[in-house]
Amino acid sequence: MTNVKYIYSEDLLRYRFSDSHPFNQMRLKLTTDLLMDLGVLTTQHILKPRVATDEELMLVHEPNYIEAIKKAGQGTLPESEYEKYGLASEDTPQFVNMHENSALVVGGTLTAVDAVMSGEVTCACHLGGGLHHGFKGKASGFCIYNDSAVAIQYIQSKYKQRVLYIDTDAHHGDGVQWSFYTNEDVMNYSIHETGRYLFPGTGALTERGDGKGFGTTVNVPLDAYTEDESYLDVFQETVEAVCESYKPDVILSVNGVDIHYLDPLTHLSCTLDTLYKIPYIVKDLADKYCDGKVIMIGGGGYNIWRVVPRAWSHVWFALNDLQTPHSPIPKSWIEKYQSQAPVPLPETWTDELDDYMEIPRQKEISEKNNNTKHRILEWFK
Amino acid sequence: MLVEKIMTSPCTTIRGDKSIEDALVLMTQKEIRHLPIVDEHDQLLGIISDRDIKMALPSILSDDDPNQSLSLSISKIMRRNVIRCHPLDFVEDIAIDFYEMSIGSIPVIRDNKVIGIVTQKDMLNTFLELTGVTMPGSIIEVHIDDKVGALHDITGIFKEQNIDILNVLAYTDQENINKRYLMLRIKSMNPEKIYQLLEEKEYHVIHPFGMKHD
Repeated sequence: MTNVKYIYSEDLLRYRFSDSHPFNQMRLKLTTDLLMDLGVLTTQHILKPRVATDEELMLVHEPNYIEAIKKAGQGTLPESEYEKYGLASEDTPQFVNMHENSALVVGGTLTAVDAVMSGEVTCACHLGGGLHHGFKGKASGFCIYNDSAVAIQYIQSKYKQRVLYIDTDAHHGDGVQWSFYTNEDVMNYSIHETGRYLFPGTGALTERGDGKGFGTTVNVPLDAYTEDESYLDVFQETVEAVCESYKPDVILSVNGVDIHYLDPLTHLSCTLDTLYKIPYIVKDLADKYCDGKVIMIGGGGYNIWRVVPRAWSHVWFALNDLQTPHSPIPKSWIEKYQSQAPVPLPETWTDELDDYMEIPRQKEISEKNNNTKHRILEWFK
Repeated sequence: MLVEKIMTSPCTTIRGDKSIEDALVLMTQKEIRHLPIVDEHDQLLGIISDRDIKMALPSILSDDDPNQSLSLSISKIMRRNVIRCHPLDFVEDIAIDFYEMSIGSIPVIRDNKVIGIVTQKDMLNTFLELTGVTMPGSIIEVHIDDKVGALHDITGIFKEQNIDILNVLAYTDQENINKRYLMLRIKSMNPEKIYQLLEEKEYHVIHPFGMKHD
């Protein structure tokens, strides 16, 4: 009997827009196999994801949108409708069976939620989830259905619990934010690279919720080239202040691993060191404030060979109170995948850093982030 | 863009025979800072702002009784000769009124009746919406020579890549008036390819802090 569940099935790899699309769920298989080869993940831990029902999707999404996605997946949605539902862009193009495969992603997150909320286990992870850009009635930023938003609404409706949502993906979690912007029963925390250049362009410090929900949205926009030290400093202090003030029953965290300096889409310039620490910080908060109850899901991460498997492994390590292994990366794993990888696979758990850039304005950037931190801390004094 | 697109309508008004206290209560309740004053036919008589009311009341440091001021008629302190506009006026034109007159709001009049109001906040929100902040997108900034056809050449690259441009802002480089900054908000989470193509054609793409992202 284990106390942590890992939601996985190879069917999750079918959430795939095209062979050349940067969102590549091969990273799930790479991570899962790495954990298996290490011997820290066994079939005993694994729960298969279920498919979310239409009623569950409708906790957040509009019925006409769900219908449109079904039709698009069968190729029967008229092209003239694509624009309206966000399917006309290169980010979220139509793909075969997109409804079924997206509903499985949501179902995976709900499987994790049920495992934790029913008391079967204390914590669970579903690295296939974390599609935080999906809107009520529109696909956006690689996301069709918003599993995080559905899960939050599901926890509220079915279990009547207070949720703290923590989103450490490099991109602002806009879909989740707008779903709960006026809702006082969800605390929505997102730390991300500023929208000055980066998609989606929102997530400013001044977006704090509206009406009754004012104060239950916290955005921590960090400057490009923030780097480890400033990131960890701002994250630790602000997330703790939010958690302490809100006193959640359960935490749902999105673990995008695109803040790394080798990520092709972003500029935060952190190393594995920060990515390794984040899940432990969140797990500690859950232990301190929610009797350990936490659901960790995936998110972005577009360097699928050199960053994602090692970083996501630490989500599993943190949930199981394990540390970074002393032994190198298992040879069996490297042998299995090296032929498919366009770059040499990593042999150890640390960054090589030979291609790490020195940031000339680091002092100013840190100072600016520090101002952001203090403004947020003011709200919780 | 027309005023009727951005105005708040219907708008809260108050009759000229009401007291300053009535106006204060109404503004607090509706969370507004500008109140047009009308007669029984909804014709505009004047306007007051929260600041006018504060000026009319005794200082909290003085011993005067504020109730005396509160019971006075609102028409005692209202501003007459109000700058007004029509629902079919251009937003660009009333923007200049705001800019030059340092005013906080402009009532909208049709058939001699107050039918709406535009405040500084509406103007700012309109500007923000124009910049595209309400739609998810990545921002690309390019420093270009101010010459005919530059925009055409650049947007062609986006067309080839099938990337939707949500909006474009162009402004002159104050330090070098032969150059312009072009800000494109695009519907794409992954602008890497565009960066690459722009740089291949020797366009100067602005990176955060001048850093090159490899």
